[in-house]
Amino acid sequence: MSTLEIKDLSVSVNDKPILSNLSLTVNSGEIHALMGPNGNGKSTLLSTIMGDPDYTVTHGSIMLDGKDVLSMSVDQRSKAGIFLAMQYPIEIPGVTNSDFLKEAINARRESPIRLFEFYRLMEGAIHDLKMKPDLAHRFLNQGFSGGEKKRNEIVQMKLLKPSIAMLDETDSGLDVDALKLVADAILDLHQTAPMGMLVVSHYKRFYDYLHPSHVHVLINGSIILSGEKDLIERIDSEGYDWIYRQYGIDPSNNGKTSSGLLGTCATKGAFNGNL
Amino acid sequence: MAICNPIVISGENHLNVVEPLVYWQLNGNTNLDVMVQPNSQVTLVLDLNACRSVQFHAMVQPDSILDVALVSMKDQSIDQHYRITLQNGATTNIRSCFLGNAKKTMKMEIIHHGLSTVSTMEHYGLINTANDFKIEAIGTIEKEADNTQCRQALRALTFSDHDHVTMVPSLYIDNYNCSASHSTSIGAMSPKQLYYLQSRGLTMESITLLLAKGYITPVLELIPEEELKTQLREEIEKVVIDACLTKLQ
Ligand SMILES: Nc1ncnc2c1ncn2[C@@H]1O[C@H](COP(=O)(O)OP(=O)(O)OP(=O)(O)O)[C@@H](O)[C@H]1O
Ligand SMILES: [Mg+2]
Repeated sequence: MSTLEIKDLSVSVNDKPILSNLSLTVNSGEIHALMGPNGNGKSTLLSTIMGDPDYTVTHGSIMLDGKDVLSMSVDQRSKAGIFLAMQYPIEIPGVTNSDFLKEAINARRESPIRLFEFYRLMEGAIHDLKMKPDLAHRFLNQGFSGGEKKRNEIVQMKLLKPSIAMLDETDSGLDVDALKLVADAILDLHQTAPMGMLVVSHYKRFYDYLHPSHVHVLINGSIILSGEKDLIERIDSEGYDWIYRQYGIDPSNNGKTSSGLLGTCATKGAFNGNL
Repeated sequence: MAICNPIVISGENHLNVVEPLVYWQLNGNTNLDVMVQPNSQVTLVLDLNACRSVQFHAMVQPDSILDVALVSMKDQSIDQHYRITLQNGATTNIRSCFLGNAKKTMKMEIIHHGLSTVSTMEHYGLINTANDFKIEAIGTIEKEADNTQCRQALRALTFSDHDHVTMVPSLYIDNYNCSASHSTSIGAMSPKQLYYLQSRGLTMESITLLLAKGYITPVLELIPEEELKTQLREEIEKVVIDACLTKLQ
């Protein structure tokens, strides 16, 4: 049982504020859907939790089971159970996928995994995600197609078995069959070892497979609205305009003025059942 | 176990190599003239750590194979000239790995003299100082050398923007019934790449080793003796961690 607790988090990139006073709690077994228009801070939130050095926390806290995540290095966060399937997985020439996966597994073990056991696990994961077997021996993500990169993120997730899993648009770039395959792999993992999940996607289709327990809308760096699955349906059919109108948000305002204030009021509104 | 201790070589030498595996440590300034017998297969492992300059000439006689693994990890400058001549049906595979932590220069020429000759050259540099590091790889295919294959690959990994490296592959072809290729790549770890690897739990130390492995393994693979391979791997990995770790941080 794990709990990730984000409190009053404000984050800047190059001194430009992106997130303001954002609070969110994710428990094992819960799947939180995080939606919002482009460029409003979803990836920023996930990257900040993972520890991407581009993002500076200016206020607030992130705790995992009572431990201060912000004081941990990136590799410590990973070993503590946090995983981020990235929106744009990075290519690492010179390092083979299988060597990398083996190191990643060994990083969280006392004694190194036996080769036989490792190959069984890796080949199993690659098979489940219907990836070409040669991808194991190619350089990490180098020359992988968009969809292959996304599947490879899930291969890593399967092998690392996180307690808090974050998926940043893992569904974009996947063909329809792959989308189901990836969703099944995630659900399978979630059933055997329930994770707390924070899933960013723009599309209802992916959420239809995953059945999120919570849904949040992030605009101008704040969660302005939280609810359940019907929120996804409404965004899917109507877009975000009604939210802008309802909360008096000017979408051309890039969060520079009064977004913090807006966010706080609106969140309160949402919690009061003003939907 | 005996094989794991190198034979120390220095000064002027003319050697006929007959054993299948030779492990030499070159000392100071060394001149080496090596003859590989016809129809034989020889692997030379050259430890250059204590070597300041080397002039190496090898004649690979008909239908024989010469594999050479070169290792230079110490922070001592070295100047190297190699010339390997291939007679009819001869093959040579040369792989080197360098830690670029001092002025290191190498000029390596492979001369395809006979018919049906094959050469592969792969040089790997892990560059961690701003010192001079220069590799010149030359493939010469002479007029008589029909049906030749000549392949060169030069790779270097730098750890900071201040590291300098020069790698020049060249091919001189007088007989076009051949297949020849060369490739050069110089890469550096970007902060994004480090972040990605760290986000999977890897520490700076394991990242350094993982990267270095891609540069060391191909060289060790030439060595047909497991014990020597393991010994060299351990020696090299230790040096690499000590030398590169601080650069990555
Ligand atoms: N490393 C960075 N350097 C500069 N600006 C950044 C950086 N990361 C994010 N930003 C800016 O912060 C804002 C939020 O970006 P973010 O990537 O979090 O959006 P997002 O909600 O994930 O959008 P999308 O749905 O398009 O993925 C954007 O204006 C973006 O340009
Ligand atoms: Mg994003």
